Amino acid sequence: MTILSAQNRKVNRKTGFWSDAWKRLRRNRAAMFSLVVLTLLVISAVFAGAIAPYSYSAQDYDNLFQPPSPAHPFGTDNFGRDILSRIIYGSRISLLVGFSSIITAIIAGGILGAVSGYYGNKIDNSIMRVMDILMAIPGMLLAISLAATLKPGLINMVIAIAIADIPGYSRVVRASVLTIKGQEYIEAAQCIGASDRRIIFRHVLPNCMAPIIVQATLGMAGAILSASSLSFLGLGIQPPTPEWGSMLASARQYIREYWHMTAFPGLAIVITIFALNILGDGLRDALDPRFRR
Amino acid sequence: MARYILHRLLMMAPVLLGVMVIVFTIMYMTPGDPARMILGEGAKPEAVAQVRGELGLDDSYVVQLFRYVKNVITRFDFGMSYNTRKPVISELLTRFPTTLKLAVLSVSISVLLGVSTGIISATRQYSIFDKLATSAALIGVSMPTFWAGLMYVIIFSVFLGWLPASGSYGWRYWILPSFTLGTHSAATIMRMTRSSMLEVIRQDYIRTARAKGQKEWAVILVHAMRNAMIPVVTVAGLQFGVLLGGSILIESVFAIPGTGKYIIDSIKSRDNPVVQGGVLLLALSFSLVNLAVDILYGFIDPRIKSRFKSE
Repeated sequence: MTILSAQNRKVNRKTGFWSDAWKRLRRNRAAMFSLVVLTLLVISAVFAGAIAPYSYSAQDYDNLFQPPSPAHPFGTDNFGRDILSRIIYGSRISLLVGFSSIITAIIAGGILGAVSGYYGNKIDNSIMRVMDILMAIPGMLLAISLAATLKPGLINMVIAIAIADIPGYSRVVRASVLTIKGQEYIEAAQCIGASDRRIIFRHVLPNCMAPIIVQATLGMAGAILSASSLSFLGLGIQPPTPEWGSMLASARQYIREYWHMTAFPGLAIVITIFALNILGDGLRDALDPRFRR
Repeated sequence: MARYILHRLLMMAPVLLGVMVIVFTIMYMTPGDPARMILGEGAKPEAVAQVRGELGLDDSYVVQLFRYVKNVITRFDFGMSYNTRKPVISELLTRFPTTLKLAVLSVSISVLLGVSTGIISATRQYSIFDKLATSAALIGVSMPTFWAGLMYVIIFSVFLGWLPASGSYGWRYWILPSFTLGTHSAATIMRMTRSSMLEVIRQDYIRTARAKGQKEWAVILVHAMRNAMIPVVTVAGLQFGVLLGGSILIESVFAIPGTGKYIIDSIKSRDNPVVQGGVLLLALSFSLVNLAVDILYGFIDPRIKSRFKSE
């Protein structure tokens, strides 16, 4: 009897929310494929030094503008630098900017949204009106004007993108907090005298992780897109640091003669964002069974 | 209905005021002395001090903010461009029609393309058409607009030689830019149309319409479409904002002399009043489009209209 109940408990734990979601995600072939692609991207970013065939800054004036060849699979650029190597090193910046700006936006937006949803009334009103104002400025435009004010560079680009993303997260978190707030276990926590901070961080926020994770995956795609756009406009990462957007900016002058300089850095962006979008869709299906078709 | 529009307009005023404060504050924080920017390198300190006085730059942040907001509201005065010494508003308004034209062309393309493929995809779910269209839409969403624009230039102007690559001298110059922006947001609209249509055609009233012998096209286009369009209109309105942001990039790629390119050029030459006014103008038009979307809801969904009638 005791053995049986112990076994049952084990079974119960195995079908918890997260392992259940993981099981659903594993069945989604497109999402799993994207996960593999993204893992490879992270590996290549971390071990760029070992994987890239050349240095990202090695100039070779005998081999300027070389079209794709076995020696240079993606060709060389206007300084004779290997484009494949620059793309591999560039993934560091793109993934770093995408990841850190989303984390920043989630923390700031999450806290604002949680406070707003939990306390309601005046606090909710004042926070959400500010978010409304930020949302009235198209995101890309806000990021551009922030990036224009701050000096170009990695950290300022992260700040610009993060601020433009905060309203979105605060709304998602606020909406989930509002649904969670009315439930009994929150009332129970309040009854036994838990502090507001404890309730928000221990009970409310962990329970709205699912929509946050989905929004973060899709948001990271958007952040990488914004980062490359800012760099393309000359407001982000400055050359000679390899970044996909700034590579495209310098490829632009040679667009009539050398197509490979434009095509490959852009493809890197497309593949990364595509994988993140598919994974995001898959996660939404896995984490929220209501969305499943 | 008039009441509803008035209500939305009143709600818009504080938001726009807030946008003004935020945009002013962002630009206020920009490093560099505008007076020095106007006079150029090597200006005498007395001259700099005089210009600072004329522009009111020595006043506190709050005083400057109030003056700016007051000028914008009462006289529609956005200040003077540092570079051309002309009023910002007239500089912006000469370029705005170009941006508006690009946005209208792209929105038309995206709505036509997105809604029609979305409907066909939803009615033929899991068909080859549906699979191709959903994959194409996913790729479309994942493509940076500026890169798509550059690739279209390589394909259609450099390799095929069909269309001009940049400038704006005639209708042929508008095809590539509006196609680039239009297909990008068509992808989002298509995905939204498809999922909302799929939801609607499973409902009972659609089965009723079919059961009473209604023609299939009428079921889809009359009965299903009206309900399915509500979320699509929201997304299309939001896409207009994305388009305005995207137009900055696309105008730069195709060298179109619109507001977006003007803003970027002004950022590079540190012409703050222009950047300030330009961002404000684009945010204002974004808000107006969202207002139009809200009004459109009233026409699509009578429930919203009646809610405001009873009050």
